[in-house]
Amino acid sequence: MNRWLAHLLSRAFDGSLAGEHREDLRRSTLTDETIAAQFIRSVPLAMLARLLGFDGPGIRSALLFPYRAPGGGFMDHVRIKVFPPLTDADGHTIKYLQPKGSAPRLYFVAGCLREVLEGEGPVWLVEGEKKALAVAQLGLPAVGLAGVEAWHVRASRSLIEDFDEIRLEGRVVELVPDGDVATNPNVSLAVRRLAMALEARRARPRLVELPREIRS
Amino acid sequence: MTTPHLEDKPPKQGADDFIAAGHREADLQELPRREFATDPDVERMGDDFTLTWPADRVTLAAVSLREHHGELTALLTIARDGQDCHWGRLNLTATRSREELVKKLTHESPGLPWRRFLDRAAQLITEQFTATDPTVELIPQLGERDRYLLEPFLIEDAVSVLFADGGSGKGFVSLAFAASIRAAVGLPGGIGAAKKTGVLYLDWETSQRPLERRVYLLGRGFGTSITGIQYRRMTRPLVDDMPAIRADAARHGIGLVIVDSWAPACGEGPEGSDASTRSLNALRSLTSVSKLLLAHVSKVMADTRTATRPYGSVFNQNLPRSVWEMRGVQEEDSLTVTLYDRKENDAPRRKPITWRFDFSEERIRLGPGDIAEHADLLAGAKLPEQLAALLNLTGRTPEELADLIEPAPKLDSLRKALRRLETKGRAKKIGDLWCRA
Repeated sequence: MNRWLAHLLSRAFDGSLAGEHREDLRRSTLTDETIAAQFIRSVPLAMLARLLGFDGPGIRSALLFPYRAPGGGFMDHVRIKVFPPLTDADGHTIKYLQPKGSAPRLYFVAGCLREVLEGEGPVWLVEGEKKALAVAQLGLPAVGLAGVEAWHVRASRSLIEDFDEIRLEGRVVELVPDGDVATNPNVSLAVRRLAMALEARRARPRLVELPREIRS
Repeated sequence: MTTPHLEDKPPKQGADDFIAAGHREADLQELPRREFATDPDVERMGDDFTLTWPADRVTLAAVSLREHHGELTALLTIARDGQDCHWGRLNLTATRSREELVKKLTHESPGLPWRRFLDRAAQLITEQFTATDPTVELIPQLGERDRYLLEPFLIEDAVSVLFADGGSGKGFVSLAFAASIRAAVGLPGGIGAAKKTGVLYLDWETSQRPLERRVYLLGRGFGTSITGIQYRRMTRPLVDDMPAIRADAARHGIGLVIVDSWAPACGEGPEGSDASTRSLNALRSLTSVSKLLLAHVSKVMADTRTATRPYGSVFNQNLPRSVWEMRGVQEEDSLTVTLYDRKENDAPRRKPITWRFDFSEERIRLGPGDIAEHADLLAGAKLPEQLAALLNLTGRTPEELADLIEPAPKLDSLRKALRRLETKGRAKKIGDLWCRA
C-alpha cells in the first residue's frame, strides 16, 4: 500500500475533517459514525501528489475516500474529492481524482459488507461513494460505483474483479445511477451494458428510477 | 485539467439527494423499477438465427440474411405460443421498418414488449452476422504445421484446388476423397482421411442421380457403403447462396465442401479476378471446413504437355493453399489419373500420385496406377520424376531415357537430374546404365 495512504489511515488522522468537507458530507446525509467507519478524512495538500502520482494545481482542499477491501482492511486505491472542482481541456467538470493509471474498483461499505457479499436479498449498486453510503445508512446493502462506466475492465465489457466477491447468481441488483440516466443517452447506454454484464452472471438487474425533480 | 471552475450547471441529482429530501428506506423501495430486456437465447446455424424469449414464449427465426449497401435484411418468422404471427422480409437496420412491424405485432398480439424484442433481435443478429475476426498480435513461435483432413490433398480449414481438363475424372477423384472421409477407406499409396466428418457436394455440373450411382459403385469397389455425403444442386453463383450453405454446413457438421466446378460457382465473369476473389472470400467465411475446388483448364492449356494452371484468374492458383493438377488417360474400362502437386505453401511439393479406376457394371475399383505406362501422364511431371518413373532394374543409358521423354530433354539436364536422383538414393549407375536403386 502507498505509505502515505497508510499514514493517512492511521489513528493520527482520525477525526481530521475540514469544515467544508464535513458540510459536504452532511449534505449527503452522512453521519459521523459512517464517516468514521469509512475512514473518510481531509488530505493535507502536501500529500495529495504522493497519493495521486500527479499535481493538482488550483485545488484548495481535498477529501479522501479510502476503499475498503472486501476481505478486510483497505485496498491500495482511493478517490479524492477536490475543492473546487476542476475543468479538463474539453470543458468537463472533474470533482473526483484517483491515482494515475489506476483502474476502477467497487466502493464497499463497512456496515453492510457481509450482507453485500453473501446475502441473498437485493443488493444496491449506487453511482457515487457518498450516495452508496447514504443508501447503506438506511439499512440497505449498498455498494458504490465511482461512475456509470466504473464497472468494467478497460476496453472490455467484462465486470471488474471486485464483482467476483459478490454473490450475484439469481440475485436482484438494484441499479441506482444519477438522475441523468433519463436524459443522457451515454449514461443510459452504460447502465444498459452494466445490466447485460450482470445478466451474464445470472444476476437480475433492475433500474431504480429516481424522480426527475426531487422534492421533500 | 487545471483551471479552477465553479459549476454553472445544476448538479446531477442522485440517491443522496433523494434521501436528503427526507425520504426514507420505504420511499426508496417504492420507487418505480425498470426491468432490462432480458436477452433472448440465441441459436445460430450458419447464417440462420433462432432467438427465443422463453418467459414470453416468443420465437423469432431469421433466415436468408442479405447484406447490401450497408443494410441487412432477413426473412423473419415470429411465433408466439407456437403460432406464427408474422412472416416476411425485414430490413433489420432500418428503424422505420422495425417500427411498422412493432405496430402490426402489437395490434395482433398485444401485451408484449415487441419493440424491445425486435430492437434487441436486430442488434444481436446484426452484431453476430457482421462480426469480423479481431486483430491479434503474431507471436513468433514454432507452431504446428498445416493439419490435413486428407494428406496430401486437403488441408484442414483451407482451400485446395484440383484442376484438370473436362472429362479427366475430377469427379471420381473427389468422390474417392469423400469416400475416404466418410467411410474411412484407404486410398492407394497409404492415403487416408485423418478423421470422419461431413461432406457437402455443391454441384453446378451434373445432377443428383449420376452422382449417387458413382458413390454406390465406388462403395462397392471399396467393399463398403459410403453414406452421409450431402448434396446440393446449385444454379446461382456461390456468393448468392453462401448464407444457406453456411447454414447447411453448420446443420450437418460439414468438414469438407466440394465445389464442382469453380467457373460456374464464380458466376458472371469467372475468368476475372473480381469473381474469383469474391467467391474465394465467401468460402473463407466457412470456418473449420476444408474446401475442395474442382476447376478446369483453358482450352489452350489443355493441349499443353507441361504444367498448366487452373482456368481463370491467377488468384485461382495464388490464393488457395494447395493446388493439384490432374491428367487422365481413358481406356476401354479404365481411367488412369495422375495428380501433380503444383503448389504447397509450407512444405516441399509431393511426387506425382497415379491411380487407376477400373469400371464395371457392379463396381468401380480404385487401385494404384503406373505413370510410366502413359507418356501423356509422364509429360506432366518434372524431369526428375519422369526419370524416376522410367528407371528400371535392368538399366537404361541417358540417350535411351531421353528418347522416352517428350519433349526430349537436353542430355546435360538429364544427366544432372540422374545424379541428383543418385544422391537421394533413388537411382544408381552401373557402367553406362542407370537403374532404379
